[in-house]
Amino acid sequence: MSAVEIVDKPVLRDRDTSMVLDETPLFGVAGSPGTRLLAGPAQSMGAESLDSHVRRLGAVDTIRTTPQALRDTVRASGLMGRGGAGFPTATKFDLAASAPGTPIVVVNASEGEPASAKDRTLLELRPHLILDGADLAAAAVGANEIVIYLHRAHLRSNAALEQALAERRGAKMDTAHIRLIDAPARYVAGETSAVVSYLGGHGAIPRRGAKPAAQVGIANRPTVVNNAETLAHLALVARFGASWFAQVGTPEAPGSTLITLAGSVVSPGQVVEVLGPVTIGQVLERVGGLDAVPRAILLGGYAGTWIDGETAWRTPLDRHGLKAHGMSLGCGLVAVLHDEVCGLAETARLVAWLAGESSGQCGSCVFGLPVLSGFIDDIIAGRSRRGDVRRLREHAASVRGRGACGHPTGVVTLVESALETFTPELARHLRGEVCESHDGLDHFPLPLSPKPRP
Amino acid sequence: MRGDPDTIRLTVDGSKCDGHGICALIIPERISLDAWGFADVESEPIEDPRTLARAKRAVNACPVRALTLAGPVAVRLGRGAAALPKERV
Repeated sequence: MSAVEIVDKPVLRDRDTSMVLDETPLFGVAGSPGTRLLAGPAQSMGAESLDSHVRRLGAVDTIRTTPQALRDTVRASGLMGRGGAGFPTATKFDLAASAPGTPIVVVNASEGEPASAKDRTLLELRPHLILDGADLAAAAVGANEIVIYLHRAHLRSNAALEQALAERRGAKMDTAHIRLIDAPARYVAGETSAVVSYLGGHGAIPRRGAKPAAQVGIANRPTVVNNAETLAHLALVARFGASWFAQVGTPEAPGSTLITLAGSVVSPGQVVEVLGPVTIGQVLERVGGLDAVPRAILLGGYAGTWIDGETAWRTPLDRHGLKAHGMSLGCGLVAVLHDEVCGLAETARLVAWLAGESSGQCGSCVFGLPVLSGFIDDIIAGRSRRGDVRRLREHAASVRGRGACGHPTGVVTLVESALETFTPELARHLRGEVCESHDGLDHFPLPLSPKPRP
Repeated sequence: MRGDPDTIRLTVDGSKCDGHGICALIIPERISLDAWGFADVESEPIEDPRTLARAKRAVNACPVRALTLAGPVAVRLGRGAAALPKERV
């Protein structure tokens, strides 16, 4: 286990986005040298065609392997899910392959995290990588059916996907039966058990089954739900092998990782592939266009962790190291707080929205999150009473770990890290000082018309 | 999450719990009720046989079958077990 290595703030003056730092680039955007998932044409070229993809990487059906050998390669690579939970992909495959029934493969490209764009960007630029990965996952577990779970609203990536599927049909490369399913526009709809529930004809709400979906999923068939990025990695692992895959990343979290820069950066929604030991500050400076350390960043998603800017700047973007420090890279979101926005006010907005995104099943979430939201709203509005911060902390602790999915716990993490990170802002609010938070376009994006709290 | 298969743990499915609260009366050392009356379960492994006996009673008493005793197959739930969902192994 490697501790997070704290390095000094790098002084990098030039801010070109070619990312050629030295011989081995540590991160890059689409088309940058050294990238893996994003290797190939530059971002401005749009989706890579099947011709270009096959010329560059070879066709997936030329990979001669057995399901067992493929699963062994995935096991040896150490590939872990990139949707947020980081579950070992090989374990999922093994569970599905040994469970009774014909497995189904689900490509989870729904990306319900509002500011995250890595899956839709990958689909938009490298659709064949994801589709290769889906074919390989189907081969690894013996599935004859692939469901691509996406959002209708992601127009560009869906157009790229349709085009890519047509190209594959034209080239007679379509092996499994593929269906596209539009995910409901709800925050929790992308959680594996919610995906399985929805595709099984029920609501897209998280369930707590006795067995994992990989064993008992859609219509009781083994269901392998993989994040789109995970499958793209699989497409490369199958071609270049396990040891190639592990040449970048860390021993505990091998391979490259896609992250999305959001919030107060030059181009929110920019996706970066992290290839080596690099700090959040380096990426924010070189790709995000930041010339000063921000007040704070939100890491991992809206139900993620606030980190104050100084700490974040020198924190390595390393899934495992972050975890050891109680932070999660989650879906790879790095959202920068705008200097004129109060972190607590921003937290209040997010918590109110997240509370409304509860699927409404568990009491601790249905009743607990609106109370959290109310406490923070009161603090922001200067309505809080003596002891409210203590009550808020106690209440947050009582919600942590409850419920059938990770949603309430994620919101608690957001709240607790906000209280820790925005101590001066909290003190000012408690003294009744006017919040100078800029009320405009500088907030983190939220889907329109958040649902009213219950 | 699903835990060590050799230990016995009491868990609640928060999506099923309706806050009847009977469980907390039967096994207060493991289950408390939150501010709204929903079960908050301490899911540390159960070793004491008397605690285990109470845990089984609580599982059987839940009107909505929200509680589960997860552990080795050898742990039987006693009378009424046949009607219960299969234990988690």
